Amino acid sequence: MTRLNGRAMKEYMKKHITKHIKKYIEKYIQKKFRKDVASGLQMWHMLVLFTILFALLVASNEYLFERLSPGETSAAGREPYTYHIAMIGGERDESFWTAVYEQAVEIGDDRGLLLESFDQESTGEYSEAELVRMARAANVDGMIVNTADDKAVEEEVARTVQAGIPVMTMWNDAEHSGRFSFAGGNSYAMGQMYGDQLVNHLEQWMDGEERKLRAAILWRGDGTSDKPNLIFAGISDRIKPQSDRIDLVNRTVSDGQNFEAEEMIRNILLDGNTPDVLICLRENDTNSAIQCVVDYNLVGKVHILGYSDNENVLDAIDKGIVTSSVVVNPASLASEAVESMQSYLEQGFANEYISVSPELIRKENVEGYREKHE
Amino acid sequence: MSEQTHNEPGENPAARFRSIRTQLIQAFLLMIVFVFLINAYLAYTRERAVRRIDHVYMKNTQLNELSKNLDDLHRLLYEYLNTKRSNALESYYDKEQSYLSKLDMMEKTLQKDAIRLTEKNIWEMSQSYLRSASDAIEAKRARNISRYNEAYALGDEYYEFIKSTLRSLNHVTFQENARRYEQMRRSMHTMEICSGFLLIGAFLASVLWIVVSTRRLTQPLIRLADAAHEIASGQMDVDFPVVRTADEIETVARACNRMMSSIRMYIVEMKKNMERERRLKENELIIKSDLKEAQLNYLQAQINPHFLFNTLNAGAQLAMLEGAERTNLFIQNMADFFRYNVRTIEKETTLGSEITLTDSYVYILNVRFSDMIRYEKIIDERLLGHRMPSMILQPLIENAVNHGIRVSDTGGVVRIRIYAEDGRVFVAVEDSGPGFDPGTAEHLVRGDTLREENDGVVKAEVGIGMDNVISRLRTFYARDDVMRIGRSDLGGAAVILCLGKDEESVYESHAL
Repeated sequence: MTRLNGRAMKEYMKKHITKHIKKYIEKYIQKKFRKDVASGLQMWHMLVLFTILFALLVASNEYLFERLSPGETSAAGREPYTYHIAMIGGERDESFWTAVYEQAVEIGDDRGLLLESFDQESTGEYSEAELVRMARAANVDGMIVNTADDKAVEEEVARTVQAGIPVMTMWNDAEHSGRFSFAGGNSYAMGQMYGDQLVNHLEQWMDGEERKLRAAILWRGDGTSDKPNLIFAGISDRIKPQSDRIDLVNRTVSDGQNFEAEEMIRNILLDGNTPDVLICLRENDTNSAIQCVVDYNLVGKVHILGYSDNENVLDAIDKGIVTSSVVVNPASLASEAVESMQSYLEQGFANEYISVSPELIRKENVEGYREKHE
Repeated sequence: MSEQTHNEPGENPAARFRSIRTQLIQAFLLMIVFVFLINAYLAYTRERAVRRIDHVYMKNTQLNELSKNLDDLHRLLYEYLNTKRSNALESYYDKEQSYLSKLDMMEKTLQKDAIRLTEKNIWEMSQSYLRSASDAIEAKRARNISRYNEAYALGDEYYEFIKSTLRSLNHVTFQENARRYEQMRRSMHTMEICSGFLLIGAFLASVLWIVVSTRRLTQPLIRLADAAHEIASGQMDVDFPVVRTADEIETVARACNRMMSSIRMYIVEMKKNMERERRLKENELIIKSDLKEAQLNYLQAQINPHFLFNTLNAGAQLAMLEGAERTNLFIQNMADFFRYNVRTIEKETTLGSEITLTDSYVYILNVRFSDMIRYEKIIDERLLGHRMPSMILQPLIENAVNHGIRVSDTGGVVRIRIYAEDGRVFVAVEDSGPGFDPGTAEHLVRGDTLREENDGVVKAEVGIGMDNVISRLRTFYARDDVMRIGRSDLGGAAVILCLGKDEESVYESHAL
């Protein structure tokens, strides 16, 4: 095969060289691929892989399954509460009472007192007197009741006390019901604050004017309460020197009907004898008055002395719609009440009368107040 | 040829034998177990989730049952107080028992959780209710009308409280359960997605495993098949690849390799036998040709040479006595020619002897044909000792005369040249005749067709033909290239014998 012509050479190349290359490639593939992937992959590799996959499946499923039952164990493991205290009364739609309740629950938590709010929201359409009876039926260890000067409630409180369940009143007292303690804002002090504001107003705005300062106070209730009104007493005491220049009118807003208050406030403001100063003793009334003054363009004409420290009222103070607002710190009130209750339950006695001093918020100190309570 | 072995890294060369069946069973068992485990687990999870979802609204169902039970209880209480029927009382106690047992699911300790707290309230209120109910029943028995009325009124109030609290609890629980159900549904969805991905992963892993294990099992087979294919196409030096799979395939590959080496040995043996046979046949052919020669010799021998020589000598003497000098010379030459013929046909001779014979032969012919032949010799004397088979030149001269000289009336030239070229001795016999046509020349050189033409015809002039000359020369010199035919510068044919070098004679081993 020494001498080859072109064609034979080609044949030779085709036959031998390509064969060699093919063999080499096959060998390479066998070496690299087959060994690495095919032969290298042994039974135990797969076992490990499958185990890992299965473990992942189980772990992820178990984890997610645990999340399927949330909240079930949230209460478990906590120190048991010693006393079950029912809180009844107070308007739940008012941020003040909501704050009082929340604070009380929080403070009670640390002291082994479980405070439960018996209200219409959680039990249905029951009157407060009925709620007291219900709490009695539920055999609570104690009650904190805002009687709202309601006789029926006061009677129920008395029965409850007779049944051996200690009751303390809050905000509105029922002195003769046998309650062991009362906690409330210092109403007389509040009245004084409102009175001071009236006098202030008289001096600031009415200086040199002949006519009297027209002021209206919005009361709640059916007007049948025979208790001495400490707020009114406070106001009267303060305005006594100027009483001939101040025409103070009492307006009562019925508790009974829904939405009536707002209508009433509108009427007071627009009945032709628009007061210069409107004193609101409730948070809701304050809010309604603010809205009304803004709606009927009475800003600057009617000055509101409000109650509450909710954001809307604070804003109105900022804008000058509300001249000042009197508030009782809900945390202080709640803390006083819970402490008193605990003391009575554990030691058998407590302060019979606890009053929480009110604060006055004006344009000058509204920022400071905000910062303090943030 | 050593066995081709692919050793896997880290694999024990003496790996334990694992049959393909075991391997297949292992591979599929792994898969099946894996798939089964996944399915079983998923089924278990699903079942668990369904149970939990069922459980979600179970509380509402229980509350409803409790409420209904309370209704019955209160109705029976009223019925008893109303009618004092003992049946009603019995039923009341039954209901009371079932109510208490249902009430057992309610939380009794103080818990901050609103639902649990409400449950506790319900439990307490129920206790109050049952107390007042039992008071009422007792008073009824004692016919204390005012007391049982009072107790019933209290019980009725408690009943209302419980109902309304239950309603509220039911509502809150339902809301809570709906929230939990929603959360569960979302968790289930996430779970499904998660499981889906893992299942896809498992699926891919399984596919990989199937491909790999199938490949591992079939790859050696495919390679065996490839090797078998190559072998089938005639490449006997290919070995079956032996992969250390430690299974039947390895066994088969090894067995096949053993078989292949046996086959190869067998083929070598067979080739040897065929070669031997071929030689035998060749020898047979040689023997046949020798036989022919022997026959010829026999024919030649039939003319009693002594008788011929004696007769010719007597004729020569007679011519001498009668003073016929030319006749004497003629007969003398004839005697020499035949003597040479008889003597040397069986042996090798020298080129010189052949020339002497040729001289005698030409002389005889010239007497016969009235000096038509002009005989020329250009001879390198040094080559006259070259050994060669006998009776080679005579047939060539005969041809030259018959086909070159006698065809013309005026006669012609026959020339013999002896010369050396490239160490080989050449003898050229040329004539001035018309020459060969190329076809005839070629046939002559091959020595085949001529033989056919001459088959069965015994030439009158001399018994030895060209084919015989060529055949003997080839045998003597063990080479094909012994004669060339061309054109002479005399105008006619030139038959050139290519003899070997002196030392190349192999006559002894290839005796004619």
